[in-house]
Amino acid sequence: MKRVFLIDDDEVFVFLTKKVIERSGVDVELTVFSNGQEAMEHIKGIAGDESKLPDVILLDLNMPVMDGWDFLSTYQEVEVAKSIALYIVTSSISPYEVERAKHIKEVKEFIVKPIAKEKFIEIIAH
Amino acid sequence: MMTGVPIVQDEAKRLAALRELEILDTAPEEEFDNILSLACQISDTPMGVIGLLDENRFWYKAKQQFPVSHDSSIEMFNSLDADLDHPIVVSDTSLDSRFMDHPFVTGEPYLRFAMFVPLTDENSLLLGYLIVTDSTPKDLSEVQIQGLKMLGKQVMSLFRLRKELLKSKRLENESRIDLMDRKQVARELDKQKSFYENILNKIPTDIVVFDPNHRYLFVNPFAIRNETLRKYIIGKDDFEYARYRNRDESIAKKRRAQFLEAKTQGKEIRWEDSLVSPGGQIITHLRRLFPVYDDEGNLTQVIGFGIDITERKQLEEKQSVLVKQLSAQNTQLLDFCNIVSHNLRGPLINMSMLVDFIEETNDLDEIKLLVSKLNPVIESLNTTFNELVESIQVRQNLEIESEDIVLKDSLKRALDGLEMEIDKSKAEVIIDLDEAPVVNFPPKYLSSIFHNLISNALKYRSPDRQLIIHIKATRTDNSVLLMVKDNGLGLDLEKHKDNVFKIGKVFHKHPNAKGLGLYMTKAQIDAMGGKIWLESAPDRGATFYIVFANQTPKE
Repeated sequence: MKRVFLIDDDEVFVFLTKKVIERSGVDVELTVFSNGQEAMEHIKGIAGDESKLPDVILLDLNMPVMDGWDFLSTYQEVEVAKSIALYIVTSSISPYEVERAKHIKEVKEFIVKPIAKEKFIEIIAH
Repeated sequence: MMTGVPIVQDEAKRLAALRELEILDTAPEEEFDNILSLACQISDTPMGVIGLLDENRFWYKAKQQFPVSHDSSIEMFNSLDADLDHPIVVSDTSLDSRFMDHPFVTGEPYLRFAMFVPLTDENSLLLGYLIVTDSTPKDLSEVQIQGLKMLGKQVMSLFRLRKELLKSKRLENESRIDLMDRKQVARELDKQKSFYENILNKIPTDIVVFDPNHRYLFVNPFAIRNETLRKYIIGKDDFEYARYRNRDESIAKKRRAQFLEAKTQGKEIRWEDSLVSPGGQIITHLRRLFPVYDDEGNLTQVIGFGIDITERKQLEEKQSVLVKQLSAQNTQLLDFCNIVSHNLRGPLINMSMLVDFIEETNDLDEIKLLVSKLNPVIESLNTTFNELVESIQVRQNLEIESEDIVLKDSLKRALDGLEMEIDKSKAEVIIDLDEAPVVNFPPKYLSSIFHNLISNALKYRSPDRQLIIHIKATRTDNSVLLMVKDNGLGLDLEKHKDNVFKIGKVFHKHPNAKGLGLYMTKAQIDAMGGKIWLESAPDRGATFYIVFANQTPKE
């Protein structure tokens, strides 16, 4: 079973992502954080514990308190005991943000919302 | 062209006239070199030639910085089918089919600009061209073109003089010196001298010539208009001139420094000079100084030119203002793209996904659940959209009417509209508007500003203490300062100072925080020529200051 962290403040999108998971039929344990800070505090607490770290992180950019970019710059300094596939999932189509993401090696891919069922299955399969 | 003489040349007659000059393959002569040098100076080009159209070559009598002695590809000249009275100006050879394949264009010296002044004799026979050229494209002013035309005529009078000299030499050889001819030669020489002076005196450019010690040898009327002063200055320097005219020596000192720079560098220097005319207009000159050396390399003269470039300068300034405006508009456009991306695209995606799910299911309960999720999405979309439309209107509506508004009334309406939230949060509002009870401002904007700032304070209140909002108006000379202060969460200005008033920026965890309110507030205040700024620190509350401009006190 894959463990997925979803970091997004948009409650409707979180609801929809749960539906997508339901319908894609993959076996996933989803944990939701409504901003970067909540997620970061949690990850710092389990950074050394491979059994609790996620396989996949889906990260929104425009969030209150700590946005996606701030999350990433802190995340780069945390030593996690596992290789985690991190995806930016955003409604932004700004080329500037796409370019900025390219320079962060921790980011596996820049995905523009929505995530289709097929794309989600592909992410989980890796 | 009706006035011109078309090139229909009798080649045999043309060549005969050329041969008569006995000039082909002779050594360089100072007179021609000087004319060419002057031509290059007038046109501000580094290269040039005075060339003669021989049977199958274009031979250079004078050349400046030109790498070869002649040009054997004379076909190009056949394509110069303009009339003989008008020079041909080629601003960019690489765009002109007559020149783009010429070896001097495709190879060394890579010519891009060329101007051809036809050299025609009294029988309209085309003997050659005075050519100035450059390796960068350019345009010449009418004044420059006229100057070059005059120099072209001067080359022709040198040719005539040459013929006369040859003729008189032959007569001398035959020991039959004809006094009349000698007088004619002297007359021709006088004519030539006055011709030069004519050019230098009439060309609308400042021209001065200095000796190696920076004393004036020549000044043309455009450099000094007053004839007495112009005569006085010859043999003097700028310091003597300043004393004579009771002026301080600052300009003389500056000029001396520039002169010495040209002298030490041994090459041309140029700079721009701005001064205010008696009419209050700023006049800009491009000034150039270049040293002239003799054959032994000794400095003989320094020549100075000044050209009025005020018009060009004004154009440049207009362009730079335009660029600034455009880039400001571009930033605004980017802001709008941001909001479309973040605040409209997000809800739209949610909507379309919800609709997809609804279409895929037949389960009534599931459909009900999905539809219930649609409502908040549509509501947020609607709010964002309305705010966006409104903010565009603020940016566009420059003619909105201001009125005298009693601040207390407008504030009360805003507080009434937020009554529920105020009650819920048990906020205390302190109002102190006695010093400036009235402002002149668009009523709609003022209510919107109050609403946004108070909702802002309510949204970002601290859970640890009772919210107190303090609203105070004070008066300065010609403006009213409004302060809206809270004791809420505050924010880190170090981190957010550039973004506070931008679209789509949120700094707090709040479901409705879309960052549009402050953008709107700033847009409304900007539109009326006012100012807004924020003082804040994390957990120390936030204070907004607004300046309402142009508030003349009422008696």
